[in-house]
Amino acid sequence: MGAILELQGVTKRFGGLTAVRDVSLAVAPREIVGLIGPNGAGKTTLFNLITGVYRPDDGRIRFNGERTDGLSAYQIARRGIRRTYQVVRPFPEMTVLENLMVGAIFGTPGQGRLLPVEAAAQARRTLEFLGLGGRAETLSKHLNLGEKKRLELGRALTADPALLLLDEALAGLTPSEIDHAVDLISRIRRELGKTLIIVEHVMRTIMKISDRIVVLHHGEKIADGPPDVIARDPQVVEAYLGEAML
Amino acid sequence: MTLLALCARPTPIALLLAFAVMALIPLARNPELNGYFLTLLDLMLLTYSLNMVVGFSGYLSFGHIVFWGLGGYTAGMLVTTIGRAIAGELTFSPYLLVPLGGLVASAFAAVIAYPILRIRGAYFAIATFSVNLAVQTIFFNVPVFGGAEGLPLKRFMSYQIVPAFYWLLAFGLLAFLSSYLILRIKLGYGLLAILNDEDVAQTMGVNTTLYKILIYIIAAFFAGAGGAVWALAQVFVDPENFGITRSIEMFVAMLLGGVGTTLGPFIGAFIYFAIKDLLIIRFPHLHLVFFGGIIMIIVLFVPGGLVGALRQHVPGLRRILE
Repeated sequence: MGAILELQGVTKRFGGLTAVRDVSLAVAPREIVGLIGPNGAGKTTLFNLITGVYRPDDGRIRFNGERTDGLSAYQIARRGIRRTYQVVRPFPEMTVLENLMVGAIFGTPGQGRLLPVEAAAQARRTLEFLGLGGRAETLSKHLNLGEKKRLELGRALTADPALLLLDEALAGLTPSEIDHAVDLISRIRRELGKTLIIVEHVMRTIMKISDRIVVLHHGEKIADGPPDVIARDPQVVEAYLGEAML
Repeated sequence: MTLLALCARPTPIALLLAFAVMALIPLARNPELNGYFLTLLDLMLLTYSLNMVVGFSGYLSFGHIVFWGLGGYTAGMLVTTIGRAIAGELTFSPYLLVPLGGLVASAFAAVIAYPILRIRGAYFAIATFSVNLAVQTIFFNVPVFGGAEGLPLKRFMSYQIVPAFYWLLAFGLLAFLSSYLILRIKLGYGLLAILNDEDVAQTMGVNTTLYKILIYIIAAFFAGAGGAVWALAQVFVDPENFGITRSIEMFVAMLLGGVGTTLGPFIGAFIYFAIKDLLIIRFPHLHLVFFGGIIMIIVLFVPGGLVGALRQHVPGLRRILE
């Protein structure tokens, strides 16, 4: 069926709490999927399941047709999935360039998995793409939040992954930084041909950039469809309890 | 890029020169001077080994001396076993056994690495410390290893300090070159990622388990080789070779020089000896107490050691000091 990522009945429990319940989802190549839901809906847990940080208690995950649930995080990463973090986690004591080089050196087959010398060149190209060229030699702990988020995006991009998972890539950014990030995300799909799943709370933005919106609530998928349909879905509106959906 | 091209930078050139100058020391034919630098080189080699684990991967290997002790006992056991078999002094240089000391230490590291490196933070430090104590207790109590009396080797070899000096010098240089090279290949970048954030490293495709085990085995080799040289230089090995004093000394030297740098262990060993000389003259029995205070002061105020502080405050040195 040509899906790059396919989840079938994925469930994850933490003790008595079911964080993700019976979620099925298929993502097509070059699609941008917005993943939304109230706090605690299971969005980040779903990312952790896809990237192998957690293993699902039930269900299957396939990436490019291959079962990946049960593989370790690094094995899944090498097959071409990269992520960013809700609370940014750049490598603090490494320079911006070194952060991106790690991405390239441990990248996916093809363009990735470069020798350190080639990785530096690849990292510099990505820094230009992100508009971070002037910060190459800065220790990443000295960047501001917007720059750290771009750094994480760059560190993921240098690995040349087929699928990018962005966990609140826009939260905490200023309006102009949001515009810049939105532009970057659409270019990542258009120019680099990536598939993206984006968790986001900035509703107006996520509705604008996504081809499709998936809504999680209490760990279950309650809606899946085009942004304009989702915005009017009574179940979704109820889940957000009066939050303006626009 | 060849190793030679990689080394055409200020830090490796300076260190190669420094090692070359040190190679001249035995020409002075001064036994005291030889002994002094033998001790210094021994600490330097241990510090390079410790720095590979603590400085590169962030794992606090507090019982690191276990590899040094195992290297020493490997040399001691081989010399006594061969000596008894041929009923006399060894017919070849006993220092040829030094690499075997390193290999046995590496083999031991390989055995304990997988379980022990799953533990993080302070618990890892405690676990390595416990491993050292357990091994020391075994050597203390098993008669084959000489028990508390240890293994005297003088029946099977003669006391020769100059070859010991050159073996330590060679392994010190090799440890520096290995450190320098490791930081420039895939392994080094993976370890730096682990040092910064192990969970993120995993989701970026770093096989963290494999990399931690690899560096542990490599580091153990250098500590083991150093321990073997030391045992042969002393013509004696006993359970004190697993003692805590050297564990503290190498941590101080590493912190003084600069954790995670390739220049740090070299400089750190020299600073450590300079301070120790000053303190020992005034406070012969209490100098280790002062080193406790020194560790605290460094960790609080100069966490990067001398090399780290210079790199931070003199921007021009960032590219030169590595």
